Amino acid sequence: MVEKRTITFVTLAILVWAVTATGMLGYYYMRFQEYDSLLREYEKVTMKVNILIDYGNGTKIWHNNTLVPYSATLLNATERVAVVQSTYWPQYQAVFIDAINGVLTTQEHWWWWKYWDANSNEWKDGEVGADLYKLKPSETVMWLYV
Amino acid sequence: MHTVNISSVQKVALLGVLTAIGLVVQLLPRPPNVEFTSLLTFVVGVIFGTATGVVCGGLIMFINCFLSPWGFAGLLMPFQIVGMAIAGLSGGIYKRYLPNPTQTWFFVEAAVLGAFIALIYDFITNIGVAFSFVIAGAPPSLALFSALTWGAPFSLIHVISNTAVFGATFLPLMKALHNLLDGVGVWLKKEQLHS
Repeated sequence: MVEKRTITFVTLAILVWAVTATGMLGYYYMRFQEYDSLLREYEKVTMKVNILIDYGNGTKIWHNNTLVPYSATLLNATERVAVVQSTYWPQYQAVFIDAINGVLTTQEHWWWWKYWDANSNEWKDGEVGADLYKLKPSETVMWLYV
Repeated sequence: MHTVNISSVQKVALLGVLTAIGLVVQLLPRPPNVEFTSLLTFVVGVIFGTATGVVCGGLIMFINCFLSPWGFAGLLMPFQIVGMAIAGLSGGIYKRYLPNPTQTWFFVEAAVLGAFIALIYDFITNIGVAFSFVIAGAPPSLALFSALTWGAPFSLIHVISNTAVFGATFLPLMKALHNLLDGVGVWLKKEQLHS
């Protein structure tokens, strides 16, 4: 037989848990509302792009629907989803990628980027430095370690 | 239950010490919503009874409202006073139902009480926050909802910390005070401690 005292304190504990949990639920709801409206505001000045990082060893990481500002460059967008080391080369007036997520460019291997051409349904090579290529809304780009 | 043999001098001295400790701890810089005042107020309520517990809790919060490192409490002051007075009141009520403190279960019981007191205190002070929203022009229901929901994470911290503080320190503190008072059995049945 469970004591009345035990039942009282268990009830009290459940009450505390229920009220606290309800409060936290309300808090997250308010936060959700706040961020949702903030996101709507940002949607006017942002776009979503898809970025694939192919490490060349079978590992391919997709970063779909990455939110970036309008007129963001490929370099900006990549820096949002990965740790990027890069060097600006004045003679080429462009940035070259030294490493993505710690995978370094060497004499034999380097990072190359491509974009998905929806018209021809194929990947096409990037023709300028990542800092010069301005992304378009819903565009899909790829970093390939070759 | 044994009759209380504590002298009024002892009573006043101990009450003064506990109130001073409560006040100093309350005024010291500490993480937000982690406090020891409700424990001390609760203990005062248990030792000296409901009325003293209420006065002690209310007094600590009254002084705290002016000297708090977080600044003057303003409109929140009466709510904080009432909230802490309830901790003292709870101690006085709990005194009537004190269990055998040698049982492990007692720690759990004290922890649950700490959580409950924190919850009540936060609810009351959040009503105070809602009141200030209403004065600023918000509809009462929205003001209350906003105050309770935005205060929920702080309340969660308070509930968790109070659970830990009460669970870990209430019994040792009561035993220490009991020893200090030379076992006059203010709050415990003597035969349970000295059987």
